[in-house]
Parts: sequence; structure tokens; C-alpha cells
Amino acid sequence: MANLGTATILIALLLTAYSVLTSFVGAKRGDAPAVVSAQRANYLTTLTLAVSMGALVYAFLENDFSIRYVAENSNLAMPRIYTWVAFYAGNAGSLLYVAFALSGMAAFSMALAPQRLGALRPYANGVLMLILLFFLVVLFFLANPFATLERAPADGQGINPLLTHPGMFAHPPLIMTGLVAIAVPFSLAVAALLRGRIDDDWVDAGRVWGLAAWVLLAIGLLLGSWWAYTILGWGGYWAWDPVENAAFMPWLALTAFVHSIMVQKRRGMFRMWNIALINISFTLGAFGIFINRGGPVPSVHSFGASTLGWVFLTFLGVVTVASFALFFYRMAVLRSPSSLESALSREAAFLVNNLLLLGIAFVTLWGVVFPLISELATGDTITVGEPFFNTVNGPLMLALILLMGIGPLLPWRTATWQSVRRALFVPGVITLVITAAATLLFRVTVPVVVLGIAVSTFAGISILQEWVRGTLARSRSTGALWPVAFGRLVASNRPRYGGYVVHLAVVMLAFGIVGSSFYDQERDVFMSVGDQAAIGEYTVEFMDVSAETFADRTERTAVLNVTRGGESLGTLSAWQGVYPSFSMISTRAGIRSTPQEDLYVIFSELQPDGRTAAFRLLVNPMVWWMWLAGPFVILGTVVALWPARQRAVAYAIPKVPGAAPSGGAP
Amino acid sequence: MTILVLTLLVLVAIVVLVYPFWAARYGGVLFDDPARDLEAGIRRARNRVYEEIRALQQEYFLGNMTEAEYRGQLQAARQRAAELIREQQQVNETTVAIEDRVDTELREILLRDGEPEERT
Repeated sequence: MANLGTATILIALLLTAYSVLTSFVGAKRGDAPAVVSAQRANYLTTLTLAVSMGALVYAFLENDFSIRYVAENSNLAMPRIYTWVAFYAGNAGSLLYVAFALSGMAAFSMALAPQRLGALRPYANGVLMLILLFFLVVLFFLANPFATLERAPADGQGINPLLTHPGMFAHPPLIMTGLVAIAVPFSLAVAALLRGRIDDDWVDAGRVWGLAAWVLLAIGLLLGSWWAYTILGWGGYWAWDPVENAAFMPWLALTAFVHSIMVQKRRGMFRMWNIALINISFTLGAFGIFINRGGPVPSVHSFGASTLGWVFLTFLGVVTVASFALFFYRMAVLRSPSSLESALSREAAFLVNNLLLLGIAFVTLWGVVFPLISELATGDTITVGEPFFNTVNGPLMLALILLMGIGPLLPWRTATWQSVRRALFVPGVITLVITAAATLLFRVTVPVVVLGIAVSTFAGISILQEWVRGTLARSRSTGALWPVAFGRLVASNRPRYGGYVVHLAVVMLAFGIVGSSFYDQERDVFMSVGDQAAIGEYTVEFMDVSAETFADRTERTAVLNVTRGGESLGTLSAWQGVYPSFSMISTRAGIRSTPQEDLYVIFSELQPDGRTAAFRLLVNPMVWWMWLAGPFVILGTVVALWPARQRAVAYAIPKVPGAAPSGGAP
Repeated sequence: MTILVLTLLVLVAIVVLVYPFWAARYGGVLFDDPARDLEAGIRRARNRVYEEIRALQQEYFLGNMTEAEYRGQLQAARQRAAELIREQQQVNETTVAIEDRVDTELREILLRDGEPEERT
């Protein structure tokens, strides 16, 4: 398997190099066979890397500890189900996965690229293959997952216990795929710059792949939060950890891009801005890979780090300099034919949205790089903690959510204050009523929370108002039943209404974050079997503890009975695993989750008597809504990406006698 | 097994990569076509105006615009659509005129050289 794996990586590397060469030479010379051959090399690379992936999976399944990577990331006691997780648990395996994911997306994007991309396609293929070439060179020369040991050990070191969690089946691959997926819209933009003809050909494909990368990162981030919430044993879900931030920053830039690209699609504006945005997104993605794989700063994700920081830093430097040099070189032809007509328009709202998103991204970037800068400047590492991020990013995020409520109510081009007042009146009044009621009912005294409730409610009500008014009007005009009218309304403008579903998910996230950040309760207790402890309205009784020993770990499960106001709510199981070879105790919180709040129990420590244990009890309000946001993000993106039916628009173009007909339906 | 898989992979790769250079249907040269690009650009702009009119109707329908705003913007959009159609027409006429001119000049050359006219 080791030989097959190494050889297929080499073949993939050669195919990719060939594809780069023939793409650019073919594009420059207008040589059609070379261009076709280059594209086929792209497809063959995916096939070859699939064989390579298969070889590594097989080696894991066969416990082939002669392969160093398998020996370092699995052992005989590892449940087979975690083979997939072990595959990318270390640096070399994750790089193979990244190369495969990038190759697969490069193949798909080029195979599905619309014909009208024409001469842009070979350039885009060349750029994608050039990026892939970097990963394959690193993989083959510096981080070969098929490197062998002189003597195979009888057993491996085992998988990191933190990774044996259901969230790990999808969180890392989604984040890695999302980060490299940005390469597709980036390659299209760079292709347009290389070709020197910056029209709107790349916009549709760029938007689709931009959204694909965006949703992969969004779901990956949410799953990562869920993983942190259930396994890290601190009751939180987001800690502004450098690696979390490394995926969050490109996601923010992509969020700006998927909004801004709509302005270019609809109005032909923001050409320069969109190319800059996708350059920033890809650069931040490359920075994310540097932080994640290079390991320059301490993180809860340090298990994935390597000594290859300088390689990824070089890649980041080359990508940043090359993409922006090309951007400035072509600046003269990047100007849009039309400009902003009014500050009171949807285009202007999109622009402010972009600036806020980039503001959050750069504040986050500063927080991530500050420890590196401080170390270089003073020799001391000064870390930037949660208060910095929350204090600076909090207000920006609130402004963004407020804009999420106002923006959709503004028409394109220009609006009058009269129409804006009219559009905002109903959501404004309902927001005031709901915020006042919530403030009184829940005795909210923190001004930031009142503001958070107000802007989130306003954004939610604005969306609902758009849906209700549209559905009612459509139902009145066509006589259709409300559900049918609603379906037709959504189908009439999928990007818009899909976007609203995603906005609704953001509102859910906002409520979850506000509720759990300001109204969480926490208590550390020692309990012996039969003891009770109270937190909030809950009473928790420690019923029993059991232990089971495996070859690599001892698992302990504490069973707790939960009651509220004397009413039994059932039992909770809090789990911990002791891994001597990793000198680590891994926990799984026992969680009773409801839309109102989570009761969260961590089994921290078992005393030598085997009957007394330390527990951390938490009540986290509204976290449930954050996890519900995930399916809504996926649903909204699917709606937004769903291809629209071709409309039969007959253009009234007078025919010139004898001329070939032109300008058919789009 | 490993050698068999690798041999198969290399052979498939060579055939797949070399084939386009031999097959006639992939022959030819890719050139930018300014006339086609110009026409595509106008078509895209026209699509954008029609999309804009649809969006305008939707905004009005949703109550996000006053009637005066709607009428004003609709009129402006219709004018832009008309201008684009006129532009498209000019491109078509120019293309046809150029093709006619090429035909005429070719015919004159062929007649002067005593060659039979090309049948179309």
C-alpha cells in the first residue's frame, strides 16, 4: 500500500504539472487540443488521488503500522468507525485530503463550467492546477503520509481522544474543503485578470462556487462549535481560538463576496471590489491553512499542527503578492460601467454590509497575529483573549444584524425617505413591542442584551414581513392557496428568498449567542452517590457511576437524575475517558437541551473512593437555537443555488433582412 | 497488484491525454471573437435590464416602493432596454453589411480571375 500511495501521489503531481503547462500554453496560443488535454489531466488527477486516498484508508483498516502515519494516528483498540477521522488526524493525511478535495472541486468546476466562459476556462484550470501543484509538492517531498518505518511496531500510538467524537466525521473535512473551495471563484477571477478582459462572464460561476465554499465553512464552523460544546468540558462553544478564527475570517470575507457579487450580477457594479474581495477571501483561506497546519500559535487544535509553517507562510506570501499585483496591473480595465446612484439603495446597503464584514474579519486577524507580532517585537507572546474580540466585534455584529433587517427593504438604485419609512414602520413597531415585553418579562437589565434582542427581532420581523406581504399579494392576485403562493414567491427569486432563510438562521444564532453569553449559570460541585445539587430551577441527583476498561482507556459514566419543581425530567449521563498513553482525560457532557435552555453537566473528576465525583453544572439559555440554525443555513443555500427555470423571454429585436437571427432567450 | 494498478493508471492517463491531439474533432484554434463578445455583452446587459424590471415589479408588489418611484424607475429601465436593442440592431446591421461587402468583393475578384463562383 505504501508504494501504491506514494506512486499515485507522484503521478498526480506529474499530471498536475502537465495540466498547468498545457493550460497556460494552450490558452496563450489558442491551441484547442492542448486545452482539452489539460482539462483531462485535471480529471485524471482526481482519479489518481482517489486511489491514493483508498490506499491510505486500506492501510488503516489493515492496521499496517509499517506506515508511520498509520502507526502515529491509530492503534488496535481504535474502533474501526474512527478510521475516517484518523485519516486526517495528522498533518500528512489532512494534506492528502486537502489535495483530493481541491482536485475534486477543480474537476467538477471545470466540467460544469458554462460554455460562455470560453477562453476563460483554460486560465482558470491553470490557476487551480497551480494551487494543487503546491499541495502535491508538499505532500510528496515534505509530508508523505505513506512514509514507512524501518521496523513496524506491534501496535500504534492511537488516535487523539479529542477526535473520537461524531462531530469530527464532518467538521474537519468541511472546514478544509471550504477553505480550498475558495480556490474555484478565485481562479475564475484570476483567469479574468490574466486574460485581460474583465467582463461579467465569471460572475455566475463565481457566485455559485463562492456560495458553495461559504456553506461548507458555515456548517464546518457550526459543527466545530458543537464539538467544542460537547467535548472540551468548559460549557462554551466559541473561544476565539486562532484556528477557529482562521476559518471564520475567510467565511466573513466570503459572506461579503456572496452579497457583493449579486450587485455585479444585477447592476454590473463593484467589478473591482468583487475581485478584491475574492482575493482577500483566498488570502485569508491561505492564512487559515498556515495557522491550522503550520501551528505558529497555541490552539486547542494543536494536534493538527506541523513543522511546515515556513512552507505555508511562503505559499501565503506568494498568493497575496501575486494576486494583488495582478489586480493592480489590471486596475484600469476593472472599472464598472455604472456607479452608485444613491446612498439610500440596496447597493449601498450591500456596500456597508461588506465594510462591516471586512471590519470584523480584520479585527479578528489583528487578534490572531498580535501574539506573533508581540513575540517578534518584544520576545514575549502577548495573547489576545475573548474580551478584546467581544468588545470590538460585538458592536460591529449588532450593526450587521440591524443592516440585515434594513437592506432587504430597500429597492435597487434609489429610494426615498418616504418609502423607507413606510417599509420600516411595521417591523419597527413590532420590534419595540416585543423588545419591551421581553425586557419586562425576563427582567433584562443589561443594555447590550436589550439592543441584541431589538436588532435580532427587527431583522427577523423584516424577513417575515417580506414573506407575509409577498404571499398575501400573490395569493390575492392569482387566487392560489397561501402555501402555494408562498412556494411561488420563493421560486420567483430564489437567491433573494434563499438568502432570507439564511438571514433567519443568523437571527437564531444571534438569539443563542445573546442568551447563552449573558444569562448562563455555572456551579462546581462535589457529590457522592445519592447527593443532590441545585442550579437554576433544576435539581440534579448523583445516582451512580460505572467504569469499563479497554486496552487504551478507562471509560467512566456518571448517571444523574434531573428534576425541576419536583417533576422528574429523566436521567443524564456524563462521560469521561482516561487515556494513559495521551495523559489525558476526555469528557462528554451530559446535556438536556430544550429551546428555552440547556442543562449541561460535566463529569470532571472521580475521587479515589470511587463514589465521590466533581461536577460542573451549567444552565445555558437558548443554545438549542444555534444548532437549529445549521439546517436553515443549508436549506437557504440550497434554495439560493437551485437553478432557475429558463424564462422564455422573446426579445423584440427587429430582424435585418438576410441577417442571421441573434439574441435569443437567455 | 500495485504494479498492475499503476501500469493501468499510467496507460489510461497517456491515452486520455494524447487523444485530443490526434482526434480531428478537437482540432482547431481558440481565438477571441470580438464581434461575438460584443453581442454577448449587449445581451447580458439587456438580460440585466429585464431582471431589473422584474425586481422592480417585485419591490412594488411587496410595497417597498411608492408608485411614483416605481413608475420613474420603470420608465428609465425601459429606455435603457430600448437603447440596448437599438445598439444590438446596429451591431447586426454592421455585421451583415460587412459580410455582404466581403461577398461582393470576393465575387468581383473571382469574376476578374475567371474562376467559377463558389456555390453556397
